[in-house]
Order: sequence, then C-alpha cells, then structure tokens
Amino acid sequence: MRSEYELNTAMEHYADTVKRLCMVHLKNAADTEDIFQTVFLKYALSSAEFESREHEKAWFIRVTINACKDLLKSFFRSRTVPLEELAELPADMSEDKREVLEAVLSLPDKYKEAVYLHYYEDYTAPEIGRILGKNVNTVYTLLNRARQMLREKLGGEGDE
Amino acid sequence: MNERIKSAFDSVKAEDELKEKTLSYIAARAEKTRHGFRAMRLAPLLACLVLVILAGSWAWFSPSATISVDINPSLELWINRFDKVVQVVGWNDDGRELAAALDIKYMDYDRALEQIMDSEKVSSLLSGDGVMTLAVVGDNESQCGRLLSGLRSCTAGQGNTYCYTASEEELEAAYNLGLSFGKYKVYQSLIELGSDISPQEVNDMSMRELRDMIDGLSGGQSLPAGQGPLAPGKGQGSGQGKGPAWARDGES
Repeated sequence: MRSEYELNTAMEHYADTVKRLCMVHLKNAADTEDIFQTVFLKYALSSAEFESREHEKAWFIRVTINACKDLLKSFFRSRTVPLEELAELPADMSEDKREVLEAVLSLPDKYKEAVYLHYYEDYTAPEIGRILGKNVNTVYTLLNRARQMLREKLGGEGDE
Repeated sequence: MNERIKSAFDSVKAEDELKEKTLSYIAARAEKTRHGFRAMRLAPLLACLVLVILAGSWAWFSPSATISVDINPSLELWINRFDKVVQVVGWNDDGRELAAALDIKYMDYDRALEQIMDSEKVSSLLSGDGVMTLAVVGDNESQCGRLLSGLRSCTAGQGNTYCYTASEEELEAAYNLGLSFGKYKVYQSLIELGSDISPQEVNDMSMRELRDMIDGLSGGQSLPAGQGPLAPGKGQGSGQGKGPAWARDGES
C-alpha cells in the first residue's frame, strides 16, 4: 500500500486529468466520484514502479479510461441509468469554452478520447495507440475524422 | 483549434471536495485492509487451534478399546484412550434395554461398570447364580492391561465373574456372527463340543444357561486349560473368579 504522501502527490498531479477523462466518458457527478475512488484506490494498492512522471501519468490515463469503460459496460448500469445528452460542464465556464467542450463531447466515444489525448495531453498518434491499445493508423484515422467533425461544428479553423 | 480545445479542457478541474472525498474513502479502505491483514496474521494461529480441537475431538471420541460385558444382558462399552466410555452398545434385547437405561456415557470405565453391576437386572443375576464375563479387547496392550486390572478390582468381591483380554480379530469374528465377544467365545465352545446351536440362540440365552449347556455337553467334565470358552485369546489374558471349570483357565 502506498504512503499517504504518495497518494496526496498523485492526487495533486493527476486529479484534473482523471476528472477530464471522466467528463469525456461519463455524464454525471456520481459516476465521476466512483471512477475517482476506483482509480486512486487502485493506485494506492498498486505496487507498480514508475520510471518517470510521464510513465505514471500514462498509467493513470489508461486505468481511468478502462474504469470508465467498465462502468459503462456494467449490466446494472445499462439497465438503470437513463441516457443523457452531454456531461455536466462547470457552471462558470465562458461561452467559447463551453461551445468547444460541447463540440468535443458530442463526438462518438472513440473520437473523444483521441481528441483529448492528442489536443490536450499532446500525445502523438503512436503514443495514443499504445495507451488505447489501438493501431497507429486507426488513431490517425480517428484524429482526422474528429478534426473534420470539429471543423464542421466549430467553424473552418485549421489544426496547426 | 488546438489552443481552443486546450483552453477549454484546461478550465475543467477536479473539485477539492471530490479529492477530499476520494482520499477519505481510500483512508477508510486502507484501515479495513489493515484489519484484514491483522486477521490474516491470526489465520495460521486459528488454523492450528482448529487442528488441535479436531485432533482432540478425534482422540476423545475414537474408541481405542472395548469392554464386552456378558451375563445377559450382553453389551459393550467402547472406551477411548482416556479410559472414558464413549459408546454403549446393546447386543441383545436385554442389553439394549440396559444400555438405554444407563447414563454412563463419558464416565470412567470403572464407574460405568459399577453402575452396570448395581443395575437391578445385573445385580439380581449376580446375586443368584448368574455368570458374568468381562472381556477387554484392543490393540493398545498397555491400555488393555490397565483396563483389565481395573475390571478385576471392580469385580473382586464377586463370584462367577471372569475378566480377560482378547484380540481385535476375535472381536471382529464375534461381530460377524452378531454376538458380543463373551457370547462368541461360548458359542465357539458349544460348536467344538458338537452342538448345532445358532448364534441367535446363544445371543438370547443367559451365560448361566449357556454354561449349563456346556457342562451337559462335556459330561460335567472340566475342559483342559486354554480350551474353555473363556480361554484367553491368543494367550493374551487371564480369567478371574471361582466360576465353572470351562471358564477357569488362568484363574487367579
């Protein structure tokens, strides 16, 4: 079991990342809380050694995505949770940011996580492929299609 | 677009309340886990305790010797290694009736025997001309010797009472015929003397009646030592008492 210090440090470094990934996949605060508990408990109990901060961050991203997918797949949830349009966004968010997030979150799941990892976390396609366990070409395709869809939603702005 | 997406996601932060809740949850789970580990540390100790209890129960409840009591009633006392009665088995109707009436389970064998001898049925037979045989059967020679010695002390004041030891093989042969050990020995003698009596008939008769029958068949002559119905099994034991000649070999 990791120490309280290690846990607090991890919370400080990766809580926002986990929160954003929850927002990409989930739609309500209760589910986000569940995933937080699952991911950080797993970290607390894990004896995995990380070579670097980046390695540790990739671990958090992978574990969070898997936990979100497991939650969405669960039989109980599929029978009891009503479908909602979009995740709850922070109330004090500016109009422009809200518009961008709504555009990203309205994409199908497989595009959303690629967009987040590429545009926000600055991962390259091969890195995203490793994290998501997908072929690199598939990641390129996902990013290209996502870019096109976002252009349609947000206007014709370029990627670079 | 890169910058807009980055800026939009950047404004999403984990609330302090969410972080605190998560940390509290993990602290609570860690405490539970620690309790679990403590319980795990105790597990080998508990396992040993259970083993000791099981071994003790096995030693307590497993009979290591048998005392066959025959006078008609015929019954057996199964004795554990601590010389306590763990089972009382009646071998005929009188024996079953007596076994049901006695409360001698888990009692020392000598006290149990005293109760049997004090019972109305047995004491009236003994005070008449009844013959009682007591056979100790078991693999543990030291225990059998101790039990035999105890039985002799218990029956020291009684005439027509015989104590001896016998082997497990003989006991098994008796069981195969549905007889208690004492009755089995008498049955063997009757067959040797040419009787065609059945084991069931032997079972229903008293030791006195059987003794008379043997006396009749042997022409009232004593059998040579070691050939009577109460001859010690394979030379392991000795009889005791002032009983009839057929039962007197090894008499002390």
